[in-house]
Amino acid sequence: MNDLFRQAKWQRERELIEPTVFELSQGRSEGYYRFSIEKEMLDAVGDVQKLIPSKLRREELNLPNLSEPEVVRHFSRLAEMNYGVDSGPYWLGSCTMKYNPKINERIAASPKVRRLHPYQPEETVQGALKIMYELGEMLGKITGLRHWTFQTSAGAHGEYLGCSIIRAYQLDRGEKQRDEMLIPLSAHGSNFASAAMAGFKVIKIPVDSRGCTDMGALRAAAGERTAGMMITNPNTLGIFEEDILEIADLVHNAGGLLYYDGANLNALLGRVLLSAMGVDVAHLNLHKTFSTPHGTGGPGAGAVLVRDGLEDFLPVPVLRERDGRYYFDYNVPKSVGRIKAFYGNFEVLVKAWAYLKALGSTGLREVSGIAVLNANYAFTKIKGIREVSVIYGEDRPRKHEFVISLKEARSKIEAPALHVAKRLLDYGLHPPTIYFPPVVEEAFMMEPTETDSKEEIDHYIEVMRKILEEELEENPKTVLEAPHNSSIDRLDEVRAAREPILSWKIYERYYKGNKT
Amino acid sequence: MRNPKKVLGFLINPIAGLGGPAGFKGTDRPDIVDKALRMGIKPRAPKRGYVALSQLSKLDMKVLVPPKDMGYEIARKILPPENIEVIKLSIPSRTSAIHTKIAAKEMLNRKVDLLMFVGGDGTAKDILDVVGSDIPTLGVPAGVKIFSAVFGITPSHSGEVARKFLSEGLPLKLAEVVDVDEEAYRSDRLVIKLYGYLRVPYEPQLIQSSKQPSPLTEEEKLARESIARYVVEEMKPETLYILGPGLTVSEVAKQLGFEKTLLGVDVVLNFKLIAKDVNAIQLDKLVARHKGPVKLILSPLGGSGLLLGRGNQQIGNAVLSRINKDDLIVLATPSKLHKLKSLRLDVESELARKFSGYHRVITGYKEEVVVLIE
Repeated sequence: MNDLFRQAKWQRERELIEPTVFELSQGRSEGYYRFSIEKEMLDAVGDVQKLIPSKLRREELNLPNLSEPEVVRHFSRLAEMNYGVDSGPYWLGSCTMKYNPKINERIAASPKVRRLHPYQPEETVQGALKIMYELGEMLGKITGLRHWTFQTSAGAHGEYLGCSIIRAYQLDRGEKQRDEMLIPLSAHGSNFASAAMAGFKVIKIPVDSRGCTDMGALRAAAGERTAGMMITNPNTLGIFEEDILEIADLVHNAGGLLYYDGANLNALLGRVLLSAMGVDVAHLNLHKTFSTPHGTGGPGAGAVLVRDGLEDFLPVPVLRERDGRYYFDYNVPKSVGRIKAFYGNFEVLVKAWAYLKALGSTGLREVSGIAVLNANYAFTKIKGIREVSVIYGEDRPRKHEFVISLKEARSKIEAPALHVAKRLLDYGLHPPTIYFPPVVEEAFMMEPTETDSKEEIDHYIEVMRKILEEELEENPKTVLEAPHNSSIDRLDEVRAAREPILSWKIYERYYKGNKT
Repeated sequence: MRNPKKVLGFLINPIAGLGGPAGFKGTDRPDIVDKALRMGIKPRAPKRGYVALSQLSKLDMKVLVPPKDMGYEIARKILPPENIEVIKLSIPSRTSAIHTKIAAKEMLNRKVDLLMFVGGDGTAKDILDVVGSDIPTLGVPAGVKIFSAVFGITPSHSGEVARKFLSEGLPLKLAEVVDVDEEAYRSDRLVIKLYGYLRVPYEPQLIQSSKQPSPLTEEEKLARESIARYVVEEMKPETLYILGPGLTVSEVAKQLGFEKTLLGVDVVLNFKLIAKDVNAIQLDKLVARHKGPVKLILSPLGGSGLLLGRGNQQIGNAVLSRINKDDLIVLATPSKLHKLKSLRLDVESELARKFSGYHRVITGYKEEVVVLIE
């Protein structure tokens, strides 16, 4: 057992971990705030009951009755039971859980950012628009794709918009029959659903022994029904798609567009332009690559960028600049339309802008360099651990992440990836992405990012070795029953997914009377 | 003194596979053999035995065979007479399990280096009854269903494995022989039990895995439904659809509003069932009469990925010659496909050439995976 890490665990009763504010205030009639209406006002208004139609009137306001200190303490306790990038290593592959510099938060917290209203006239928000415009210009330089929108608020949202742009482009050319989106099985996991959501048929392309797109299969699949292809490069196995130029040619010659999923851009920052890889449309995850918080850490932002010739399809409004003045252009006739209210998650954009301004182009190149170095260092060490195997391209260098298989450990325990992941929690380490990509059995998808120190990486590797080589051998039960040191143990993940309880109202509706 | 030359025991169950094209799904009863022959079905086991044994023609070995169509007739077409030894055994014009067993017993007594038999799951059971795991054995697929793991993927794969084993040596592995209840199978239920193990040369690329039953989970059911919905949506009028066996394909019929024979071959035209549980001759006639396009809806055998030549021999050469690769509509749930590296065919080499290469497999609603058919 590791005695160094213990997560805070605030419990009321044996089975009840930090009750909700509603439960905390049960049986109490009043909270901190009390207000009464002055008689003079009441007299002026008359019978209040008559002012509001009976249908809209509520007899009871279901608000928790807690004092300010009680509320603050409740949320502090919850925070203590949480784990985030500020707590320790977080190698959640494909998610780029890098440290989020605090200076970004400070800038975004400025009242000049916080107190803006989306309905303010353009003249009064020129500074804010300048930040957005500069961010767009910087991302354009990083990718080689010069036209952009920030409306999308997540990666998958960006993918959906990208697919919509591809469809609009094909329809504009009169190519109505192009209803197929080619997606390699090594693409980012959400691509398949995004393409389907945008109305495309999803044609999956297998991975060859190198861990790259199977070119024979791609050649067989591309044709007159191809609308486009969605590629993630480096792919979800952390391997660079070395045939990328041939892939781009193939897709273009078939009449399709090449979409780039930015999930793994951290590996390429300042190294290669997406435009040089033949990319037509891309989305970038500002909440991954550009260090803005994510993973229940705050709203995300996807930036969608397109090459010259596709700018007419971007959603409205498009932010433009003329003579040093910034304005929103709604007159974009071929536009796919709006994809979100207003202009995107502005605060997140400010954080990404601050990140890029702080790093500059030299710093950005260092980011990808160190991210790739860290991943390869960890990969080299971890693949030497007993029970670890590498299914695709074992001898090829990785980019920013790598995937290992724990299937050898099946001789010791069932579902080793799941149990070893849970055991990592006991050491204060966030586990990697597990069972993804599905082309690797018992997959562990690991991404150390550039922000972990060598000491932290070495510690992670040592913990992996200890669990796989010692604990599985000597005391598999410890692994099977993990976690032991975290605030909660095993969640019923299936039930959580099938019966999501996202509010107190839902909780009351389903569980009042038969609380489990 | 033992002959330094390697000895191969080679045995054909001449009636194996007769019930397949006839739509009987097996050949375990004598009346089925009669009916099949009367229908004009040609025995296929000897031809398949020939293909397998031809792979070994250059080996300097001795072959021990039963007389007549149980081995000798094929062996003498391939090997020089001095390398053939015939077991003393009197066999009637219509053989049965007992003859297989007697011949196998003799091969066991003589401790042959490898017993290669041509047949199906039933033949494998007969061999197992006699030789157990005492001598290495290898099946050449010729039966109706090949669900056991002791067969090559095609007859020439079996021959290739035998050649490698006798010339270079291969490790041996205990492989499953399964018992399929043929009466249940004929009444459209698949009842498979583990019967025992034979010792088989280990060559995973060439030996068929045993049949993996389709899981009956909710997720699989949903996957099959979404596949079927897509297939039905894409169906065109005036096109003859031949629906092969299996759960996934039967879901297509269900969406069209009728119950399909789970293990037989049914035919659909203009969204209506026009023939149920057809045999090869009936199917050939239907296809010959139909002037429009013909499409084949198939699902690979779980575990081995075999698409044609297993449990669907009702779909014969005439049909397969008529259609093109694009007319093959292949369905598989993601979990089934995930366990298969590629799809395989056990059909004549000319047809195999036509259908091989990359092909799309439908795995969900508007969802396809490009897979290699080898």
